[in-house]
Amino acid sequence: MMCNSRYRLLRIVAKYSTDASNTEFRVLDLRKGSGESAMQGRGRFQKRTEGGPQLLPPRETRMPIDQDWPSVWPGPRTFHPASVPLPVRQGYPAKDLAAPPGKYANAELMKIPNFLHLTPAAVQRHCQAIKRFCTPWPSKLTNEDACDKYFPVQTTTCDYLHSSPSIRDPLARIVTLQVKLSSLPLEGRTRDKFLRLVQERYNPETDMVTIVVDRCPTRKQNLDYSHFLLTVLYHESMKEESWEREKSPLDNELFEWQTSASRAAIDSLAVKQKLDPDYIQHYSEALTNLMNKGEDQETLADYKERALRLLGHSRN
Amino acid sequence: MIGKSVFRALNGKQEVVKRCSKIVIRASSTVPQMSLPSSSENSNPLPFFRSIQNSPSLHASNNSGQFYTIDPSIKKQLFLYGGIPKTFDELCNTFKETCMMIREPALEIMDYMKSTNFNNAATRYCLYGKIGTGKSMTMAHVLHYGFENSFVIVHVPWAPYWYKFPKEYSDCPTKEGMVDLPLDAVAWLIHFKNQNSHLLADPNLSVCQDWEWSKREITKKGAPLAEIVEMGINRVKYSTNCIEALLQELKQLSDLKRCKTIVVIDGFNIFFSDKTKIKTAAFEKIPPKRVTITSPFVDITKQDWSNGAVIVSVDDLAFFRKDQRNTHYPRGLLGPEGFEHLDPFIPIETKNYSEKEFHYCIEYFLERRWIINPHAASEEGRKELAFISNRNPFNLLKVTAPL
Repeated sequence: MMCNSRYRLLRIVAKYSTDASNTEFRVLDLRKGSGESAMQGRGRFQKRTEGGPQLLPPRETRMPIDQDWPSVWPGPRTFHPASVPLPVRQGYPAKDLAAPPGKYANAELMKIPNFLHLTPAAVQRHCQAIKRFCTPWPSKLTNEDACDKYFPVQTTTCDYLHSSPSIRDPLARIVTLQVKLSSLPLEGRTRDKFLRLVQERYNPETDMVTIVVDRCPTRKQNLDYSHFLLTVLYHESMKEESWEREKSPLDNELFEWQTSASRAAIDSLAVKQKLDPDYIQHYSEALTNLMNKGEDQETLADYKERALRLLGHSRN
Repeated sequence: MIGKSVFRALNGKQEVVKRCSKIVIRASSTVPQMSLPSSSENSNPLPFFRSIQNSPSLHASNNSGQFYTIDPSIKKQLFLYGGIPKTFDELCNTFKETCMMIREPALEIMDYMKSTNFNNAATRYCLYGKIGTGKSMTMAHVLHYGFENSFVIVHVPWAPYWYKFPKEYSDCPTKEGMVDLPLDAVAWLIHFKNQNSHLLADPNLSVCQDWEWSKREITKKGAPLAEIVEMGINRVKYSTNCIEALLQELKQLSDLKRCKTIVVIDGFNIFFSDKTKIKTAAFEKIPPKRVTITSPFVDITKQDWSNGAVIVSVDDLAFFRKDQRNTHYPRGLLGPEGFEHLDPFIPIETKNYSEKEFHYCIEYFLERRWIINPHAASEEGRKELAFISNRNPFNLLKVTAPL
């Protein structure tokens, strides 16, 4: 009832506004389907016509291809579909065979971070801006090997940013020190000792020793400690203790022919029967291979062949 | 098709049975002469999967895959107390004959033995292979060869029996901390006597030194070797000591060229394991090296004697189920200690049947009526059997059993 009377008043205003005599002041009429056309044959409940307020076409349709993109998207921003001239689709469709949802009103696209502000052109501009503060790249460091040679020790630290009352993060104190074992002058006994001290921190595939230090509260202290550790490891490896000489053949990681019981057996056999020293040599190689590489068809077949030759057996 | 071949085989078999028995009766301890069939007959009156050659000394690579028959008297002498696997023995009872396939590993070992310089130290051959590929069967074949060529046989059919199912064990009176297996030792001596009965009468086999069992019982130097064996069998208390003496004597006699010895031990890797079911009087479980019967057999497999051969096999089944090492390779099964003991040795692998061997085996089963199902005899059926059993001899036997 109330709306009826209000409606009547507005109708009068509208009618008044469309009078030809009042062209100086156009009254804004935002009602959908207002005006004479809408009132034709309609009852109490007005049906809304399709369309709504007339909007301008999205900006992306009017973007030139050669525009300056870093100016359009200068900084990190939530995805805005009308400003991005790409037909991006994201997400799973409701029906199996439909295309993924488009970019308009796509919450998933808006949630994820985008790097539209870091296109190559933009990055190049950043670099150009920073370049005047940089020194030139050292001329001798032309490849990875040169870098490893002159800078064998790599230190890795991580910085954390917080938008909270405190900017501190306890994880920022962690320091990782990485060095290639081949850059240290260790061999044989010293290398073995170093590896025993370092244990699982050594990766044989990449030949890298990785030491992670986090026991001190500040980064600088951890850094100093990691340098100290490296120094101590090296010097301790170089030292030889008296008890190290107590290592027996049973403790050996790899089979050594010279100190093995097999060699003693061959030597005692050679006393009684004639054994060709060449064949003994070949046999020892096959045996060492069998023991160190592990037993399989190949190593066993090799061992068999050489044992046959050594013991003087052959098939007719 | 099947009926025809069976009929022909039966006919051929009847003829050959007569011929075979003639050959065996003539031969004693010498290698029998090959009886060549006359030119008017076929070159092989037997079906192609059977060999006319029943003497292992004459087996060659052209016999590979064929079945040869072991005479019942020889089987009784050699294998009465063990040596032929149980499943195979049941099969032989079913077939009323003992037929073994001539396969590559056995031919290889026999080849090496034929061309060995017996002045050199005894070579050790180690048979290895997956379960069911024929290690025990190969050893039986080589044992037959050794028997034919007048080797003194030192045969342990399945060493783990002593440690898993000992008949009786007691603390050793003479050696501290060791345990005796008196009844098992006696059983082994009886087995030895049975296998070597034809050789123990040889006057060459006389004892090289005095052996004192107790204050009153002494075996003097020059006495026949059989005396030590009898001593061990009659006096259970000294049975293990007799084994030790016997094996030491055999080593010395072989060195002196008065006899040649073949040592065949199945399941050798048990000697180097760490568990047995044997306990001391104080109920302490002991490893094999603390059992007195272990040391003589480990000792004879060393390379400090000549004029003989040592054939051992290593098997994962020798260990207790919980300790099985899931490998069939010799170093893995022997362990570092065992490998060091046996090194240098010749590893010989036993494999699954080749296509030819598989074919011959199926033909044999068909002839013996082990496989009755006609589909199994067809091309497709054979392919199926080959796939299911992976051409593993033991698996093939099990798979074809219900057919």
